[in-house]
Amino acid sequence: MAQGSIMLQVSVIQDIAGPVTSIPPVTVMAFHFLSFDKTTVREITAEKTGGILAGGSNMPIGYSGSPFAVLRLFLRGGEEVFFLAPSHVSSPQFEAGFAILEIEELGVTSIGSNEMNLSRLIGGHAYLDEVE
Amino acid sequence: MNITIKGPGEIVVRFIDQNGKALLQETIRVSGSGMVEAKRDINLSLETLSGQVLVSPVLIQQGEKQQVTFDGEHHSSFTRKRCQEIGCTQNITEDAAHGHAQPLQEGAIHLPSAQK
Repeated sequence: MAQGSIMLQVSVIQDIAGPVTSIPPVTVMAFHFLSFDKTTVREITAEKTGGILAGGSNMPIGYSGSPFAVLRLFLRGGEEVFFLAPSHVSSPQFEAGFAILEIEELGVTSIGSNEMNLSRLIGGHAYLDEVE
Repeated sequence: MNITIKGPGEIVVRFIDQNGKALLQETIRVSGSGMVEAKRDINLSLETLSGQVLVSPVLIQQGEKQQVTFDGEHHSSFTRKRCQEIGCTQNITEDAAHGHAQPLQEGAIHLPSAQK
């Protein structure tokens, strides 16, 4: 049975007491079973605040401004389609049985003996509509 | 190790060394229907200038309707085993298995309090 509007939202606050010489990456997934009715992805987005501070230079290390986020739908027969963030326009309809929102943010290992501290919040969401 | 969360809410996991010191803390918030699930993969070691430090996860907080497992096991039994593996004392191991660990020392970066 179609489930109507569905929200998938997940965030991670990662704090390291430090100092450390390696910061682990963040990969977090939220998932939801669907009904193989008609699913539209209405919105997908991700954002970040905070970051990594390297002790040697006290310079923040910032690569990408936002985390990488992708929503994957698994269709009848095992086929998969994916949708990249940010998107605020409705997708075509798919007959999907499973949705996974995956958010990724990089990890780093210091060059030389620079020590690092970390405090960051990474999160994202996807809105889906499932209709008969 | 993977952390699997069933249901919406917030969990807090601290990662402690063999002396019971918290080196890393993660707060994972999940929102959606009662059927939403989440998964997080994380290494159980950190690199410092002194070398690799092995850590054990300790589930400090979870939502009332949430189920949390570490590598598919009940979190407290996983924590007990991991604490023993990395050489925690009996007291630290039992505290950790019951969801108790010292708070993280304040670091150099401060997120806005509204985010915490």
